[in-house]
Amino acid sequence: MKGAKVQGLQEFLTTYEEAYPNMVVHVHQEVDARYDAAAIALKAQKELREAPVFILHKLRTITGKISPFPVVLNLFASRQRSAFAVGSTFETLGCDLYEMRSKRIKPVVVNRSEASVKQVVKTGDSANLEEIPGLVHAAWDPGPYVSAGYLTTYDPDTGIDNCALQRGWLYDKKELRIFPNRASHNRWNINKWEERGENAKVAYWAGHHPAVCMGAEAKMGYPLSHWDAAGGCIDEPLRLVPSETLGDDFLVPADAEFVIEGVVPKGKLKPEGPFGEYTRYFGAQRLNPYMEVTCISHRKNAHWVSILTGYADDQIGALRREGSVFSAVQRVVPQIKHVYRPMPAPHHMYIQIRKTHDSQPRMAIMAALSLPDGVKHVFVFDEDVDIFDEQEVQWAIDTRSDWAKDLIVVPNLHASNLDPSTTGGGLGTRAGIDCTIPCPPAVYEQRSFIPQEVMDRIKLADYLPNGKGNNR
Amino acid sequence: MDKVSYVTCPGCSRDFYVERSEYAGHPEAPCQCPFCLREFTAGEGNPRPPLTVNQ
Repeated sequence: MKGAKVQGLQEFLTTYEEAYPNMVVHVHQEVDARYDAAAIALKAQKELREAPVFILHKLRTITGKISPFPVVLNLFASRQRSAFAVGSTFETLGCDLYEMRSKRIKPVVVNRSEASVKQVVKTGDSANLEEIPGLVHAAWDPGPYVSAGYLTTYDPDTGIDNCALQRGWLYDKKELRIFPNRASHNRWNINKWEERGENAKVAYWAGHHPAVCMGAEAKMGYPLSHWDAAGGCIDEPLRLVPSETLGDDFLVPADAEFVIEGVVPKGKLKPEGPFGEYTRYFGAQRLNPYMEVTCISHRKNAHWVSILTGYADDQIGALRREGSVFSAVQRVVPQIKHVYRPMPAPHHMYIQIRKTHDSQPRMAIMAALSLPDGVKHVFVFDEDVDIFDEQEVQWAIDTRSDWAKDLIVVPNLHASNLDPSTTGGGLGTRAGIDCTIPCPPAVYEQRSFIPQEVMDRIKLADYLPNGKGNNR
Repeated sequence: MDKVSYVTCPGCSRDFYVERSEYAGHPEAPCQCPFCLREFTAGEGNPRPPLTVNQ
């Protein structure tokens, strides 16, 4: 990370607001936690060119009380903002994050007195989940959810941490129903504890510098430390602190806004969901584990972060795929230039190459489709196509692909069970389309253009009266 | 194979769905209405399609 020493979420927001004062909006009027907050976030994403961060200072929680904790929305809804957080650029963010995480810097453990998340510690009856300003986002969500919390477990065999953005239903004062899906490393760890006849120790941490969040949200082998990956993204050791109720060897981020500690009773499952998922469909109700909460700790004046799952704010989960696709494709097509996961389509991936051989698009497609992490549809473009511009992309798909020869379809590969188009059983079809023109000596029509010297000379502002024009 | 089955809450009569892979063959498994929070068994929710194992 190029920039100042990392601290926490609030320090980032201060820095960001100084740099982009119009992109942080403080809302002081009352906002309802049930649907209204989510609607504000979504309307901003749809109606503004770039969604600002909203900080809701007067949230009415679902218990009817005004929360003492401000709520942060749309933190990750701008790719430009995410790039700012790690000193990257819009185009290279996914690949830069991949390289940063790969640096893997070991965390440090600090004393409780040095940990801002220990400024307020509540255990026993004082640890009350109803004080958390959870939001109800979607119409079928059964209650307020943790949507920007990193569920954290430790592998009992190695002691290595794992954490992932996983949903959790704030069910009542003490119970938090969680969804670590069966293929996730968190679920493996919970199962291992169960096999030992023990309750699993788990914690959510929520709210941190976005660089830490993006670093921790890495798709990695098992078991590999997400603390190390987060350290790579901040270019310094992540500060950790022992938990309050799960033992000194259960470490949590010292500079998080909130940490919720608890145990998962072995062998017990309860209904969880439905929940408006990353696919923009409701994930079905399932029988899932739950946490019995033992401690809530937080900063003074802690900020609660909520991610509107399935929309622009949710791209934090997609960014991790861009780097792994770039790396995999680069091994077979060194001429790869950029990759991009377009925001509205969670399983799409655009790949831009400097094509030198007609085999390369298909090689790139096969490499990307072989990855385990949710790439379903791959589109390969020439380097003259700006893959970050959807108009360019749609034009190239339309005019540079003949699906009788340019389409690769591979059935029965690993698929997300949350994707409603899959057939179940974790299997689904993946496909790729070669949207490139053939290499010489083959010839292809020339795309039309305006001479470059004219494009360079004409300044639109010279022809627009002040304030005129659509800024969308 | 259908991945979800719709159920109807016996309390408020509203519909939602459950994950078939977890409920198939277990009509006694618990559901909880996301709208009124009533608890009921999957069988009581008149699941469509039915929660038969070979569905």
